[in-house]
Amino acid sequence: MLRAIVIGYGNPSRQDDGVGHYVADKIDQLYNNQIDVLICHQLGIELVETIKDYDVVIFVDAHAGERSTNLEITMLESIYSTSAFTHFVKPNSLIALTENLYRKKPKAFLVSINGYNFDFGTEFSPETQKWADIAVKEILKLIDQS
Amino acid sequence: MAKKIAIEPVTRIEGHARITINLGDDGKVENAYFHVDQFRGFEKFSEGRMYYEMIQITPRICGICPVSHHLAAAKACDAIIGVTIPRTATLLRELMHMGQMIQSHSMHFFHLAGPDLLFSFDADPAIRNVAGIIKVNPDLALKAVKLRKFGQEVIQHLGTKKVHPVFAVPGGVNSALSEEKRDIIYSQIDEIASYILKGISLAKHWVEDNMDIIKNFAVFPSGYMGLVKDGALELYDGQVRLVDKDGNLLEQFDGSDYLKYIGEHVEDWSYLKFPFYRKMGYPEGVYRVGPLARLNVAERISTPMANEEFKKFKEIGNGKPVEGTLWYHYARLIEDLYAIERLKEILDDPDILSTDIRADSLQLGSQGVGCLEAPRGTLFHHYQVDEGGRLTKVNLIIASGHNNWSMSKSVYEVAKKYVDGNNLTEGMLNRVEAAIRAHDPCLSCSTHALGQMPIAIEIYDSNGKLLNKIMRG
Repeated sequence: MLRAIVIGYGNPSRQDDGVGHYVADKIDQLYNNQIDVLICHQLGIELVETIKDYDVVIFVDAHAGERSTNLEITMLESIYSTSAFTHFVKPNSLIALTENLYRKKPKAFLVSINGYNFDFGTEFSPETQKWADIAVKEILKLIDQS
Repeated sequence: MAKKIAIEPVTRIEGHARITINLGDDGKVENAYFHVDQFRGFEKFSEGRMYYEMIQITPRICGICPVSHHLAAAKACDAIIGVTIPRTATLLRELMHMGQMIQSHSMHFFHLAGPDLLFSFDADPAIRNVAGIIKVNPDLALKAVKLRKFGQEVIQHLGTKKVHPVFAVPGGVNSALSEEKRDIIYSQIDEIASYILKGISLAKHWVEDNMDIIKNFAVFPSGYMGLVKDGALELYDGQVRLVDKDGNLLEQFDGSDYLKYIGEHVEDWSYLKFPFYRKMGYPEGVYRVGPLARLNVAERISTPMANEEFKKFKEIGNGKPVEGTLWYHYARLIEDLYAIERLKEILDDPDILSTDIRADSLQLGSQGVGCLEAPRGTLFHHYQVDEGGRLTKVNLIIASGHNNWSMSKSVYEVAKKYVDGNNLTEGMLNRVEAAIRAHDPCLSCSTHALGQMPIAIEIYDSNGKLLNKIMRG
């Protein structure tokens, strides 16, 4: 049986930045026994130990800036990119490290939802809320198709 | 009309940083600065909230050392309600803190510092990273992952979550440790200690082969600050000790008195303030914190294996403080060893499974200070509250803030020594970054804001013209 995990990350105290948590939590509530869920503030290198045991890994995050789309679903390539100081590891770097360390390469996606407001607080902006709920459905489709 | 302050961009990692290097007419470095370009937000944001919310709010400053904020906030809240928490609660908080130290110190050494040490500062950046370590030494990389995972699991066993635990409360902690969880953690201690010893061995080999670099890499005098308990290294409790550049005792005080001793200087080129020892003024009173400083202020370590390494560390300075910035790496691993030994001591304590974990209080004081040693250095949380318990003022002095002067000084020293504007190489700039990296800064903590941390290195000629700019993700 195919094993899937949804990893929602971001800062839930910075409004739309917490959308990854919301989506992952929603999936956990709806599909508690079928899909594993992990919620974290940021991605750390130790996650390779978790990822290696899955066939499909879906990262969920907010995106910001000049993108035009409210919901982006990207298939992740296994590419490691270095970092000067940060403890944060990018999703495709995690996949690359998992592949190099354990010889396992799960199918991986990044689902990102546009964030409009990153102020201090826990409420989403209406557009982000709307697309977060759509993202839940899209993630389920992704897992089904995999 | 309400004012709104926008902070952009914001995601979740360690702030924005920038290094500028100014060259003279001859292409040599004239000066260099380490800037932090983020805005302070958490202190203002917290005003008006209830004091006890800080235990859950402040960990969200940081995804790396949330436990430090969680526990410092809890200590400040204990002070506000005027309680001494039960012994078991102290042990459990310290246990969580040791998990945090192990995950943070181990990750820094193996993930961030390790590539420089294994491959040299001049190695191809395409291989000078964790992926490169996996290629040449997969066993070491696996150990690094397991160390980090172990520390995170200790936090999770106690706080249900790895990153933003829900555990400490005003007056203690909210759940006792089960025998089953204690045994799970305990069963891994020997293995984890062996991994840390492997890291120490690796660091020592590197030291033997690179003493010339270490002796010339950002070596400068400063004061040092850290917690001690009966003169020994202390990470959770104890008194703040401040020593001068020769190791002479300047002050030893309770963390709640920090305002009497510590001032914060402001420079117009950085949002990050520059703390200093008030009696000496700025910049004469600048000091360093973190592993190097903690070992410089301590007389001993209370656990046996770490104390043996500590004695070797002390020999480096011949009785004086160890000044070389690259010694931070060795000091960090010695603390890592202390943390796993201390963790074992705590789990062996007969009180550890007690359910006496919370002290009640109906008091509400006007303020409280929480102080402990975060992985990167001394952390102060200071809250003032009104009669209803709402926060009227919040002051956070964060480890990477204490080290602000030291990071800037290190950048200058290393740039002056290694950077040649006429013949710029990636290895030169990597050395400048490594000077910062040795401090393991967490800039989202020190500016209390969140943001991407592309580090930009900008090099200007004597006319102020930008010659080169390198971005690092």
